[in-house]
Amino acid sequence: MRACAATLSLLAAGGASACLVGYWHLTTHGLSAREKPWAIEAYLARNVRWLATPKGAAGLKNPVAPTELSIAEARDHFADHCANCHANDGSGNTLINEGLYPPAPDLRGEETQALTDGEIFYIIKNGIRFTGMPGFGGEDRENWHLVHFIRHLTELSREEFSLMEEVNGLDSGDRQHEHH
Amino acid sequence: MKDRIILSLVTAGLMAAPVFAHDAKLHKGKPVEGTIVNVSPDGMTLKADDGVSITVTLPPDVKVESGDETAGKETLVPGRHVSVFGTKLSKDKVVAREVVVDDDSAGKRTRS
Repeated sequence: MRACAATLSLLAAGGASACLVGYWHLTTHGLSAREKPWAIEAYLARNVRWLATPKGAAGLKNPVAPTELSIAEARDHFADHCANCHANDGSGNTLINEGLYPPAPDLRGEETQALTDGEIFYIIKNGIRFTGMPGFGGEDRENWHLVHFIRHLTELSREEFSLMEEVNGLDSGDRQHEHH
Repeated sequence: MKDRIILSLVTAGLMAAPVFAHDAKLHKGKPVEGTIVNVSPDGMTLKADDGVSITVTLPPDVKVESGDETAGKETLVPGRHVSVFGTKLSKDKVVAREVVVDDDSAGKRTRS
């Protein structure tokens, strides 16, 4: 009984100390969106994101077949609406994204490419709460084309990249990665 | 009464304006500008102003305008200078959404 009380006291003291440290950190550092999320935050955010996607959405199959034209149209759409934050190459290396908390991930990376088509579609349409990703709504067909284009980002050619630059004027000087 | 008529006419004019105006959402990126070299039922070839040959696909629902007025595909004849708005498949292949015929080139052709 005494050991239990001691443990509880220790836990309470630890909790109070953590609160004090947290309070001190908040009052001295504030909550800047320019900081990188702590590893624990990133981990939690990634692992609770599934809660934001309804069960049925993840299993949705892309009903539109990709064509040369549909990929090109989605490329222009992405350049027009998405690249300001995500960058033309999907890297997220933009001035706006540097100030987002949490920042948008590199869309070419595993974190995004491992999502199902339905999950990507749901995110484009409905956004992600507590992040900079808005819910765009929009036409389902166009959103499905965007899903194809997000898959295509991993093999974006130099020519496609420069066609996107024509649409939005973002070039390598706008903090985008050198395209490989 | 006179004021009402004028107000109605002005309102109708403002509402009609978008019908004649270019559709801004069709205009992403720079248009391809050049002179028509040859035309087929579903496409045409342009010699762009920088000398490059461009293949333009003309879908059935493409909009054609001459100046500020809607026109038909028959307006697109060799020798006319046009601006093509649409989706670029590559630097030399475009699927047109809207083709605007340069008034001056239309005039020149009519006079010649």
